[in-house]
Amino acid sequence: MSSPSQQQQTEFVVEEFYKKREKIQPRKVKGLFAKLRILGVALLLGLYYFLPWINLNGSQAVLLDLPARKFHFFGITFWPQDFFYLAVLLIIAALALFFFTTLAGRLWCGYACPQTVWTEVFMWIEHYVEGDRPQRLKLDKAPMTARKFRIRGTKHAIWVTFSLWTGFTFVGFFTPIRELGFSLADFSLGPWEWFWILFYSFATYGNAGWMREQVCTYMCPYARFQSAMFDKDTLIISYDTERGEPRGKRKRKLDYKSAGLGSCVDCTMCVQVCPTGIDIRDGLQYQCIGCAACIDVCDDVMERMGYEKGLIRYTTENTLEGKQTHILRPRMILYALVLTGMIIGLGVSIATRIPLELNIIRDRNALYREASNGLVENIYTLKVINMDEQSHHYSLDISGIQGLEVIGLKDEEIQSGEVKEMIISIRVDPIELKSTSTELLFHIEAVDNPDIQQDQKARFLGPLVN
Amino acid sequence: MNSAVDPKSYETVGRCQTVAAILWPSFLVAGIANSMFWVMVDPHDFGLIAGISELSRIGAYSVGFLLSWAATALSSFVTIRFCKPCNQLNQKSAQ
Ligand code: SF4
Ligand code: SF4
Repeated sequence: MSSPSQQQQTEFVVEEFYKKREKIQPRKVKGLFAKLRILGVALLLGLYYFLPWINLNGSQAVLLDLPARKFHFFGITFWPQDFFYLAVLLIIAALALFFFTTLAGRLWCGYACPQTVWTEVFMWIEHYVEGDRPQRLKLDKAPMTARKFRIRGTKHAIWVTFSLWTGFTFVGFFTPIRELGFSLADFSLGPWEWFWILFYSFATYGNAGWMREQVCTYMCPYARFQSAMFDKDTLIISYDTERGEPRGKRKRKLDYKSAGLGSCVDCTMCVQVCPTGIDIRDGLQYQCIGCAACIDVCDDVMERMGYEKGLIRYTTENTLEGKQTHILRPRMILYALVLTGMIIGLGVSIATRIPLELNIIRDRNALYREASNGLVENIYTLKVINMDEQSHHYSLDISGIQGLEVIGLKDEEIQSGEVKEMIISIRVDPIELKSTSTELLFHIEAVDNPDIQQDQKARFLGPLVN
Repeated sequence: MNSAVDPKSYETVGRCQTVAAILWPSFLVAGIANSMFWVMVDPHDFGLIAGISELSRIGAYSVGFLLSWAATALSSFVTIRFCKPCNQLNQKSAQ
């Protein structure tokens, strides 16, 4: 038993979801924000496609060498032990996302997200091959002819080539890209390299060519959470209903105000340029990725009509309600402070990073052992990790108790990236113990470079005899 | 917005969206989990323990990723099933 209105709603929902998705054919825009996006695309894709080709001292400057478990970044080598840096980097990224979302909504989506950036390039290609929105709509409707086949074929050929290049570059961040190129050329590429090149190419082609705004609407986790970071002072792209309504078509010379019309000329340009196919005049919607295409195009229309720009603009809920907007509010200042603090901290800690690690684990099975000669013995497992590019000899100095004896220490060369485990025992005369638990200081230092040194503390347990 | 609460909406979510909802979050989570795992465990050591010596590191990462993706996708799949309202299941079996 459902009431008529419920029935209606269900029908609406069914229609909404079962309706075959119609391909959105956004019209090309020019304007300030379009320029900013081109800048974003050029910068990010420039980095993406060129970084792997940069060499430093004969080896690739940015290389996530997975087989060797090292990450090279312009002369610094990171090891799995440096995971901490990655964690901090991720926190910084998340904070930056909070900051920018609170500041002005989906800036990330509009200018920097790979989905946007690659879709943009795919749309340029589409625009170049098939023409602008009207031509593309016509082509969509046209029956398959030799001409349509040729145009479609050309588009897909360019898309596929571009995708393959993208997939190749992607794998080039993980395997030296020049060698990758050579083994591609002489067909000696390994199966996993093939797999990942094709996988990434396919993902690019599918997401940027076919899925487009559906990725944002249905698949993006950020899109589902972003509105939680908004407040009333967040700059969002909105249509000024007050000023725009009642919308209506009119002649350019008409004194529209006395004719009872608002500023919106109802040209639907904002709908035509929208890559997600929504009408911003219906208010802020979840699908809006903040690309500002509608601002650009509407400003253009306003200019041509001789009206004031900004019918659609970045504005805040507070402003629209006629209240004061505070861009510099406590939340923003806090984010900014924490963000700068963390960036500086990360920078400093990487700059002063010492490529050596010493871990000491006391043998947990026994508190202590009495050696035959009356001495008290503790066992430790030392892990020395050489994170430098060169191999080193290290000297270990242990202090903290008078006359302690170290047994089992070997002087060995430790290779770059090697983790050396040593089990040593320390013996002391119990007379020297002032408490049942004494702190020992372990000082390790590279023999050929005293700058590479680490200090670590450990406890020595023993009986109290006096 | 409302459709997330409306139990009716689950039955009307398109097939494409269902597939995306299964494969995509699981892909992300599998990627993260897999990276974390291999940061902590060197495939060589893993190979020794598991008794597979000829596993290359790249192979281990890839197989590990695909396996974890399969596992997380299974979980997403079950979630989608559980999201179906009971009355809809009843209708199905009544048919
Ligand atoms: S919604 Fe998600 S996928 Fe789309 S542009 Fe924004 S971040 Fe990227
Ligand atoms: S409504 Fe405007 S800003 Fe939002 S996605 Fe559409 S064109 Fe871009």
